[in-house]
Amino acid sequence: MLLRPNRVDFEIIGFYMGRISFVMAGATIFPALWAIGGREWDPFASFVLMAGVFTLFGAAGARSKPPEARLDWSHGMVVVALTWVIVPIVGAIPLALSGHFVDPLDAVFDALSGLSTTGLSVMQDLDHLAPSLNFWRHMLHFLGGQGIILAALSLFAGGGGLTLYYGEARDEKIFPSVTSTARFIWAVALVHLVFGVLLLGIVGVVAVGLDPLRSVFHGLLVFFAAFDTGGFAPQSTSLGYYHSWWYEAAASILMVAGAMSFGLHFALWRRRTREVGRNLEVRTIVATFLGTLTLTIVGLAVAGQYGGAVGLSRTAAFQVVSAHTGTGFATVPSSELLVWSGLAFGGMTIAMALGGMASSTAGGVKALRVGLTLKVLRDQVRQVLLPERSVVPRAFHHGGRRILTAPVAQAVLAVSLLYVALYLFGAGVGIAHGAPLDAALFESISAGANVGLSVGLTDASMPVVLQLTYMAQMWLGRLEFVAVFSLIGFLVAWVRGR
Amino acid sequence: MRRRAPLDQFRAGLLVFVWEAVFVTVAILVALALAVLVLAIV
Repeated sequence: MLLRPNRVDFEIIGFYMGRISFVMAGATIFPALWAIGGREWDPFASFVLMAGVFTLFGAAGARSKPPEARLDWSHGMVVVALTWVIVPIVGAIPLALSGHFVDPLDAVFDALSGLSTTGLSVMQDLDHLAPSLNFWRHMLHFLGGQGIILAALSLFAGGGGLTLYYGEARDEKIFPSVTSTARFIWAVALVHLVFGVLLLGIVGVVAVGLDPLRSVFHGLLVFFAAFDTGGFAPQSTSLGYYHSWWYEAAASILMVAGAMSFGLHFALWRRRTREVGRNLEVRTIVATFLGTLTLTIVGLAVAGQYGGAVGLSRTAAFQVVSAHTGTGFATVPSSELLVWSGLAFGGMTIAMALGGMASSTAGGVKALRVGLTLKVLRDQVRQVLLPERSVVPRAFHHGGRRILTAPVAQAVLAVSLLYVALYLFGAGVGIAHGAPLDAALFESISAGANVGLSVGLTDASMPVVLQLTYMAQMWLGRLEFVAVFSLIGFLVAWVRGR
Repeated sequence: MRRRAPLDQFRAGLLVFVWEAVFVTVAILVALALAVLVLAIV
């Protein structure tokens, strides 16, 4: 029997959503200041409007005064799933008013793509977008990648932080307190912000020839997109715009940093370097990276693309790092990516589907789940081959020795299967709209794994059903299903419960 | 949790950044070696 949610349930959800809306209203100050600095008054007005709408939501939430503002799991999951619906819609206001989108849905698509760190875009004439708006769309990567909820958790602790934290697809608590963990994650981001922007700024001036101010601006935007494995770029030709091997290498460092779990960041931060060699997730991602890189290089070499070894390795390494970390930067146009031969195309598709590490800003199935799935399979085979009474050890190393229990194995396999189903569903919708199988699968995985590489199916003229499908995939992929399913369950209970 | 001075935190972060740069350098060299090997075979 389903229990219909009561007034207190709605008050608790409203209360927390209100607080998150206030945080978002506060975040608007950064693009607004950017607009004032650049004397971009139309974008400034749209930022004020957006802040006003967030403040209204916040004020409405503040009016609901639940008797006890403590979230249980179902409330937390519903708050997370709803936050990831409302914030992209309100966050799309400045984009919708920019004149760079055919209709408001396109602007919401880009805002959701930004927040979910996907990077697919249906924007028109990006190269003439106002800098403050360009800053905002990249800042969406930063807010979404770090976690909207995490931003809120850093500012207010309150009860129920843990359920919100887990709801946003994070399962690694570094410190006993969620607030301390959230602050550590922000510390990692801020340190990388300083070094990343400095590095990209210098490389932009020295190797690309940008003027210093423009180089810092591009460096900041590329940092947001690389460290949060987003994939938006300041220019329409993505990182191909810079034509610089050095710039690609600098961005790769940030992409790798973004795809690393914050647990691994913490281990390195504390100089526990032995963790790198022993961690199951690190071993898995290194193996899958080498595998997909080899496939891509062989595929490109067989097709005779990119001539010599230097050009071939540069293109393949950058694109595989971009795909595997779930970033989605490109140095080749989508029309060129489409004609990559079978093996290279396969290498890229697999890299995108697998994704980065768990509890990072990357999307996809995640290396930890891949490693554990392989371990479950290996243990099953060993159990069959060994004498009946023998016991197969089911331990693995991930920030310490852990036991692979049956519930953990079931959860890993279930989520991995859900990702496969999500990829296939999107591909099916693509095929139904006339796309070839390989292109439909590539674009679907790119959306579902929050990557952002495109072979051209995503553009301003795409069918609405396909667009909505990719939006649902970005939403489900970013939240790793549980929060979204909880929201659906909550709505069903509201309608059919007693 | 033992609180660390901001400068210590910054230094620790720089070290992580250097580790990431080393990983990317190794990845680039591996890709180059693979490309040379594959082109020699193909």
